[in-house]
Amino acid sequence: VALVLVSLAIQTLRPLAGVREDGGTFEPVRLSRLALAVGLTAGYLALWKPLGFQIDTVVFLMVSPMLLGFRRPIVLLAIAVATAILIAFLFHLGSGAVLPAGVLRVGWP
Amino acid sequence: MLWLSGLHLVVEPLNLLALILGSVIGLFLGTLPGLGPGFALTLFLPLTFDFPAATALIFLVSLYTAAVYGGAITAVVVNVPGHPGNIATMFDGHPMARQGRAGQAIAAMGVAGCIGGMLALIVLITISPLVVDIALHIGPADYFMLAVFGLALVAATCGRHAVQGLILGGVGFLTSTVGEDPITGSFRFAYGNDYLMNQGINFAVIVVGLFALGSSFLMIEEGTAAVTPINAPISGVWSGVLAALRHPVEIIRASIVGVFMGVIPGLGIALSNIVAYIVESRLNPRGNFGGGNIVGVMAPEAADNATLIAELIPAFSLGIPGAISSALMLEAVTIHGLQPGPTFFNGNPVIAAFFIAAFLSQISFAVIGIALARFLARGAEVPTSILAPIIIVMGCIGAYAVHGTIGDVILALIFGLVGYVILKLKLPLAPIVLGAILGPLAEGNYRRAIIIEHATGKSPFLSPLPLTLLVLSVVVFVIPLWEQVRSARTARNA
Repeated sequence: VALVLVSLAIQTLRPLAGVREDGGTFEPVRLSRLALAVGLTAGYLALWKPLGFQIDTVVFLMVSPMLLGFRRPIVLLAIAVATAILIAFLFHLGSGAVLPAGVLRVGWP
Repeated sequence: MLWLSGLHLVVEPLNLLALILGSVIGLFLGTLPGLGPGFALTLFLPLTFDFPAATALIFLVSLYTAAVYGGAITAVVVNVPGHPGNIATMFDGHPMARQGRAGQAIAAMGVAGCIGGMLALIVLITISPLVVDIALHIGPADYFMLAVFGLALVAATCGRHAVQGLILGGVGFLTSTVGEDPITGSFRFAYGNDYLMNQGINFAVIVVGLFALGSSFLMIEEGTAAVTPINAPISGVWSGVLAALRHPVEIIRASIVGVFMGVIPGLGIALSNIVAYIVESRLNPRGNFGGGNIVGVMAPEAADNATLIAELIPAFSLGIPGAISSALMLEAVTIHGLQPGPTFFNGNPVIAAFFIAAFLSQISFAVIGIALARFLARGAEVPTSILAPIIIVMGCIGAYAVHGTIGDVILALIFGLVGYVILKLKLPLAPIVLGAILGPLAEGNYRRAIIIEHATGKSPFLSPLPLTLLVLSVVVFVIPLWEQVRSARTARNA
């Protein structure tokens, strides 16, 4: 059993060391971009309650694409507002759960 | 005569409108990651309380059948499953989209889903009592061996990553043990945490985290590499329709898998699409599965739609729904005054209208999907910098919708990181989900079977069905490992 476990562990850990079964290597991880992705999502969730779902979502959908290289604020604002309102409306209709209202003070205006 | 009056009800202008509207809304809701037929029904069920019974049921059944197809379109175009039922669709669907064949895939799925749903309806109407009789005789030991068989299939889904796939399947299995013990009610692996004690780890949260958040993180980290802009013209919608008609055997086989998985409560579409995919890819090992084989998108869709309809069989004839979505359909029919039970299938024109509408809705979502295929396929051309944040928002909402707690969303974020690592290592994600779904099924039924054994003194595992499943599991489990060993040996000798 121990032998099987050790061989399984080696099999699994090999790719983590960057070695592929065919001898090639994996693409390098761009840590800064990964940190940006996770950081943005964590920030979005952290502000979910204090800001409220709609405002937080609009801010997130404006800020993230800008940081990722899409720089047309008017287009972004339109997409962000439409997405936030549509989701809040669908959620209001379909779910017993209430989205955090935050500074707007109402879950669904 | 009954069917004629049913048809008469369906073709009333208001009801026809309800049918088409249900398909369109279901399709679009389904495309949102994390929101499937269950969410679509919760959304619209309260709105239909005041509708006439026939109109309400026609609208809901077309909504129900179209939602999974919508999710499949997301799976093909952006490589995120709209619903756990669309996981296998991604395996070949997204490679097809990258080759500029998204339109072909969307059309082929529409036709395959339509055929799958229709075949299941024929089963539902004709041999429902017989099917229910068989399903009722499936005991805990059989369920347990079915789950073991499903876990053994994990190795087969992963090809040359069979070992890693099994480990990931084990991780998924472990997540299902967090929270309340199904038999004794004591808490396991909760470490005094209120959230884990109350909710455990819900598999819908795992799916949203791994697929929606994980792939968004990968998209952002790799720049545009995760979803390549499709430069090839989106064509081949008709060739997709024709391809579906050229593979009747595969579609019928997948539909049979789907009906089987739907009739047995608790298996459901999250499993049936993967099993149908595995069956086709194992029966045709030279078929370039995973590289854009059109059968690889048709089989899961045919199975999904067959399962959705087949889930209504135990729901309507016994009042036992096997999934959330069929429980909601059951609620819908009871709210509108129809009584589930053995006599459900005879006598009422509204019920006849419901089945005719279910039949027609298969055609209507396929036609709408095919008509919109070119437009929907363009979704893959949205820049990653916009698409990834939108998928993150949808994913968070999808996780929040499970219980309405922020804990689910935080858990989804953690699984998003796990999903990112797995995707980065180019390992398959499906085994974790399979493990998480099969875990409770295996554990609860195993312990129930043991209790029966202690009570009766006779082992339920020694009856023919569990033994057959055991042999099949061993075969399915060993073949991919043996193939791996053999290919490693030939590589070493060469």
